[in-house]
Amino acid sequence: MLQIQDVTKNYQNFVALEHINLEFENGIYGLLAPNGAGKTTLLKLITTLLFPTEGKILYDGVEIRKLDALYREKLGFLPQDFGYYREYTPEKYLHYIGVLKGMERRELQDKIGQMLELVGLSEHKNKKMKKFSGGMIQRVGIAQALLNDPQILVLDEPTAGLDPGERMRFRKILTSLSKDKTVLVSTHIVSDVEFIANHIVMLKDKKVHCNDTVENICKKLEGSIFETVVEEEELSGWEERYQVVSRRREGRDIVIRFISRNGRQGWQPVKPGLEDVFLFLYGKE
Amino acid sequence: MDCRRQEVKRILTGRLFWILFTGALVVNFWFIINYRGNVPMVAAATVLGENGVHHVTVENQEEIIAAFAGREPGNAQISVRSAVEAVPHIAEYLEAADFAEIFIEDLRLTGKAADMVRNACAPLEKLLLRDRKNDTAVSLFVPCTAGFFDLFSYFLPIACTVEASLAAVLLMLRCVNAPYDNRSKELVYTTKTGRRLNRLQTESALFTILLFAVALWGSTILLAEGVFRMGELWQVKVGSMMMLHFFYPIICRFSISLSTYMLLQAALSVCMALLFGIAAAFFVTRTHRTVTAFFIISFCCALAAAAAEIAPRDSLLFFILRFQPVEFVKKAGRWFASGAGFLSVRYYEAVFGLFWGALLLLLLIRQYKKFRLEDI
Repeated sequence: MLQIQDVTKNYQNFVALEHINLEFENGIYGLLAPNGAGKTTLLKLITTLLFPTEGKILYDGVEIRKLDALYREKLGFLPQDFGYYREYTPEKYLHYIGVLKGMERRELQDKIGQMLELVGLSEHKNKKMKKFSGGMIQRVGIAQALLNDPQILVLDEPTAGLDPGERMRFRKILTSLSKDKTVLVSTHIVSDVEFIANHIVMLKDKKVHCNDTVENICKKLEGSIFETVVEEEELSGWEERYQVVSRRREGRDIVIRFISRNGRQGWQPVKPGLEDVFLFLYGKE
Repeated sequence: MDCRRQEVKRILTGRLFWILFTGALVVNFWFIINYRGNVPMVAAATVLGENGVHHVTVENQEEIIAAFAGREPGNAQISVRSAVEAVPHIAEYLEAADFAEIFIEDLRLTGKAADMVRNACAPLEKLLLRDRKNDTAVSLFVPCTAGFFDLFSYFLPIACTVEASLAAVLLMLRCVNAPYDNRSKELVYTTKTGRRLNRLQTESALFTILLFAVALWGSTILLAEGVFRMGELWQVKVGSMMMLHFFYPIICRFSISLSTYMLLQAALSVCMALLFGIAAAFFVTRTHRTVTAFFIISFCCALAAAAAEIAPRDSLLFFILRFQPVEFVKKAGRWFASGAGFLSVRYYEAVFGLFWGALLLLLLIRQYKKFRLEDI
């Protein structure tokens, strides 16, 4: 189990995270927050790239700083924007990362084949990565994160650059892995985690705002999400008064979905989704 | 599998290594080929060596002069006859004090510094006596060739040292800073190897620098042998020939052959390259910026060179600063600053090379420990 105990992170005088307390067990955790909210800082703390200014991060009761290589051995990390040797083929690149991960040669060869198959790059294994598209690079990134069969898998914006088919395949992979692993997915794309995450952690004002299941989080907004039909000329007035989540055109009218604490006649209450919660929390940001 | 082996493989299969190596060989070949006019003189000296003529004596003077007749280069400052006839006399009358004065004049020393040189040269008298007895004081090389000996005592060692040092800096910067340069730092430092990778990369780069320098020296000497066919001339006792090499080899301070001399030069050159490699590793681990680290190294060398140049020449402190620890950096600094001045065989350079090496190594270890605890 991974525990974050009262962690604060300062960059000189700037406070990036304040008194964070979290516990991660096996399963998928979605870390949701808008850009600049401290998601990446939190992930960097978990992956030992940063050290807490205050507080501790423990793995199975031992501080990860003390565990050092023993902890990183169990870690798989996909950074938001990762670099690579452009002249390398994906096979050679995975081999390089495998060696850094301390994997045995024979095990590594088998694993590289499996991972390339998993992310659909077997046919391109001998192609130089400089010729790859952004989506293909991201798939190599996912493959390297899974290469050492990590106990803790940390993914920072993993679906960036992936097309809808690839995203669906990626979600499937994550779901299959989550049985016996802790998977932490940081994203600001709600749909990436809404249907696969067991838990959602939301950050606001450098602190943990909520840490619960999708269902429980959405319950908090029950009775606050409505739909109604407005005319096009009225739309800007509605947007000024309410937080409009979405809009769609139906003939000459527009159907809007919005957040309001109190309902009125003519407004149709609808079941809130995670995206509504996200916009409710961070809409103004 | 060993990370070091993988890093070495990565450097050796990289373009930079081979561009630097090929470039260095082309420059050295250009140096060598510029001296191809001396091939007939070298051939004559080789034949003399094969015929058992290794020293200049009053008895074999005419044989030597005849062997070189008609082969003298047009730009020679002194004729073979004049040199060969002068050698036995110079060997007889040259004293240790003369060496000291040449050294003092060359470096424009005065006061206590000059006195120190005179005292340091006094014990040479015994060596001169020994060399007069065993004839190494009058060893025969290739006379009156307008700098053929410079090629081996000066230009090739300079070229190899500069090329190896430059390659050392570039290879080290490229290797150690790769995670920062190609933005893979977040990925590689979270693997099991973690920040230990920095040390492993430093060690791998040092190994490839060693390979580079040794291969460069080996290839250069092979090229020289291919062009000049030196044969037995590699065995000529040269020692401090560089003192008077402008016309002929005469006195040997250290009784060593040309091949041993070149080997010592190569060893110093390799040490120099490693030293620059360690310096590059230190600065790049500190700054994480390749270009910044390169400029800091250049600036430090230029600063040391400037300090040594402007220091007063009559003080003991200046002498120690210039010819002991600072000399090593100064010589490197000159290249970075103005492209002049390099190594010669002086034992204290090796000693202070080790001194600087140890100092830099300690700084590097300290920086590495700091890096393990810093935020990325």
